[in-house]
Amino acid sequence: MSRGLVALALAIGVTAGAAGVWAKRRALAADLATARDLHGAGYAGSLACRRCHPDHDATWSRTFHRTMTTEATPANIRGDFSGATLRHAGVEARMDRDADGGYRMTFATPGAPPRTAKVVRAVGSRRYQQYLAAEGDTLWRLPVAYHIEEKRWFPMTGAFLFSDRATIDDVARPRYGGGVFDRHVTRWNDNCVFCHNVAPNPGRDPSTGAFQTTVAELGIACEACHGPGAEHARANADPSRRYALHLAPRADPTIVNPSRLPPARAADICGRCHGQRITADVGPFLAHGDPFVAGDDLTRYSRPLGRDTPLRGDATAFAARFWEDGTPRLTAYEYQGLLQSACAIKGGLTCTSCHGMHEGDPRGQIRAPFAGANRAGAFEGPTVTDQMCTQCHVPLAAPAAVAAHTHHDPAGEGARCVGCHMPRIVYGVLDVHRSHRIEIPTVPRNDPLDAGYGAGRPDACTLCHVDGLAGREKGPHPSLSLFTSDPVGRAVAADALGRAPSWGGDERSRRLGALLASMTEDDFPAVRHIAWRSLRRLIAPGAPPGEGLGADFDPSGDIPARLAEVQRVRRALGAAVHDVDVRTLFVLSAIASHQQLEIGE
Amino acid sequence: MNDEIRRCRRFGWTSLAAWALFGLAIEAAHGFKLAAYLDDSLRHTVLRLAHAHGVILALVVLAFPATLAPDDDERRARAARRTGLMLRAAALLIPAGFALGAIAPHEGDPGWPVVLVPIGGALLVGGLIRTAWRAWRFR
Repeated sequence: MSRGLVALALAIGVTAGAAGVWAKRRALAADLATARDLHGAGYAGSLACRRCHPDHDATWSRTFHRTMTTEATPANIRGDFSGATLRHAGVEARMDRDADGGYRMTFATPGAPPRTAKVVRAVGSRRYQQYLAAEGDTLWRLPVAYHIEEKRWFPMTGAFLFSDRATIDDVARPRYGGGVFDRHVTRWNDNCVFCHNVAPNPGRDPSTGAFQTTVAELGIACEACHGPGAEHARANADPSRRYALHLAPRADPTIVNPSRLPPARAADICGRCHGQRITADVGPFLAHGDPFVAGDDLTRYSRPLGRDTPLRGDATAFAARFWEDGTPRLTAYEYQGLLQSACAIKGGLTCTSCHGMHEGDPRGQIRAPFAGANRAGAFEGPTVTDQMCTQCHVPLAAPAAVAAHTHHDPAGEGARCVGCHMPRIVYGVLDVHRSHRIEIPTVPRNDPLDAGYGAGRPDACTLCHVDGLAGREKGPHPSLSLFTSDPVGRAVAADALGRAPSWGGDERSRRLGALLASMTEDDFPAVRHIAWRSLRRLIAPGAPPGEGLGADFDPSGDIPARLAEVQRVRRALGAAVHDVDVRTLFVLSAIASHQQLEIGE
Repeated sequence: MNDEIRRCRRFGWTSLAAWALFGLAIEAAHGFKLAAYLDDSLRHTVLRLAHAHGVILALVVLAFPATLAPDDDERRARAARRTGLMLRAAALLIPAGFALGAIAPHEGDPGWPVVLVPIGGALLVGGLIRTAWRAWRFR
C-alpha cells in the first residue's frame, strides 16, 4: 500500500470519526435538553439501578425503607416461627412452619375449628413486623405481629390506640381468631400498599370490587423517590451519554434527582407517605393507583389531612389525630408538621435538610454530620446534634449564645435544640416521637382546653420537668397527664416519665409509682406498653429483652397477669416507689378520655 | 530488525518493572488498609486491572521479537515495526487508561481517562491479528 493511500484512509477515518463525535454531541445535547413526562413511564427496579449506582444501592440497602414490604423468605422474616404461641382475648395463636418450610399462623378459638393462615409477605423490619396472608385476590394483615426489639409476639390490637374494651366494627374481613382479636385485620390491597411499595396500584375493579394489585417493587426502593427509571436505565446504557453527564454535570431529564428539586417539591416526595392525605375521589386511586410521581406537586392529587379536614361532612373526623392547635400527634403526619414550621415556610427547610436517604444510621436516617452519640436500645437511633439547626441558625452555634438562648447549661440535654423545638409529643408504632412542627415553645402551655387536664398539648418544658415548673402556675405535666389525658396524651406522658432526667428528692419514686399504676390501670395496652418501657428505662436501663426487673410484663396481658408482674416489681423496688394514692387515681382517671384513634387505615 | 528487538526489550522490561512496582504499591495499600484504595470498589477494581494489564502486556511486548526473523525483507521489517509499535502503544494506553480512570471516578464509571482503554484495546487487537497473520504467512 502506498504512503498516499494510507494517508487518505487515515484522513477519511479521522473525518468520519470527527463527524460521528459531532453528530453524537448534538444528539446528546438535544436529548439532555428534552424534558420528559415520567407519568406512565416504565419502572426498572432497583437491580437495574445498582449496575450504575452501586454506592447508592448499598446505602439504600441498609435502610428500613428497603425492607418495608418483603416476601416471606428466611432472609426477611424476623418473627419467631419455631412454634411460639400467643394467647389473647380467648384466642391462641401458634406461629410455626409447614412441611415445605413456609411460615404460618394457626388460630385456635374455643368452639370453633382452628384456622391456619400461610404467611406470604411481611411488612416492617425495624420496630415490629406484621404479616400478610392471601385470601383469593387480596392480602390481609394478620392479627398477630412480632416485636423485634422485645423479641416477642403481641396482638395487633395492642399496637393501636384502642382500649381493652374495643369492640369489633362492621368491616368485612376474613375470620382468624374472631371477634375483637381480628379488629385490626386489614386488607393490604387498598391500605398498606400505598405507602409501603413503589408505584402501588390496587387495581380494584369498580364494578366487581375485585383486586388485581400490582407494585413496581416491594418496599420503598429507588423509584419511589427518583421516579420511574426504565428510560433512564436504557438511555444510560450508552457510555457516551453517561460521560457527557459526568463531564458537564447537569440534570438528566429521564430521572428525578430530589436534591435538584425546590424544597417543597422534595418534601412532597416524602409527604406521599409521611403525610396522611385525602383525595376528593378515591375511586381512581383504587382503580389505577396513586398518580403521584417524584417531582410532582403533591396537592395536584390530594391534600394533607388537617385537624379540621372534613370527611363526608364531618369536620371532626380527623380532629383526634392533632393537638388542639393543629400540631400532628400521630406519626405519618411529619409532612404536616414540616408545612407548619417557620423553618420550611420562611427558610426553605425540607426533609433532606436533616434526613439523608443514603447516609446516617438507618434508625432515623439523620444525616451523618448531625448524628450524635448512640443510645441504648435497638430502637433508638443516635441523638442529633445542634449542628442540624445551626447549619442555618449560625449565631446559635457558640456555647455562650446557647446559654443565653436556652437558660440551660449549654453542655446539658436541656440546651439541645430539638428538646425544646421538637418535643416528643407524637405517638406511633408503640413509641413516642419528636414533633416535626418545629416551633418556639410556650412556657408552659396552659391551654384553655386543658383546664380540666384533658387532651391539652404537653409543653416542651414539662416533658423534662415532669412535675411542673417550680414557681410557675401548674399546667398539665406528665405526672398528672399520665392519668388525666386522652390516650395520646397519656402515651406522651408515660414516655416523658421514662426519658426525663431525675430531679432528686422523692421525684423518682413518685415517677416509678405513677408508671406502675399506669401499667396496671390504664385500659389502653399501647399506653401500658410505653409506661412499661419507661419503667424499664428507670429500673433496668440497657437491659436486654427478657432480662432484668420487669422484663416479663406483657402490656396486652389480662388484668391478673399484669397485676402479678407489677406487684412483683413493686416488691422488688420496695421503698423506692411512692405509690399513687388510690383515691387520687380514681378522681384523676375519671377525667381521662378514652376515645380510640383510627390511625390511617 | 535489531532496532525493533531493542525497542521491544527496553519497553517490555521497563514496563514490566513499572507495573510490578505498581503491584507492590497496591499490595501495600492492602497491607496498610489504605481507605482510599479499599473503600471504593470501583477504584479498587480499575487499579487491579491496570496492574494486571500492565504486566501481561509488557510480557506480550517482550514476546513479540520472537516472531521476527533476521532474514525479513524491508517490507516485512516495516510491517513488523508497525506491529511492534501498535503493541507497545496498547501496552501503554490500556493500563494507563485504567490507572488514570481511578482518579476522580464517578459512581459506577471510572474517570474519563478510561477512554484510553478502548483505543489501546483496538491497537492491541490489531497488533495481535497482524502478528498472527505474520506467524501463518511467513515461515
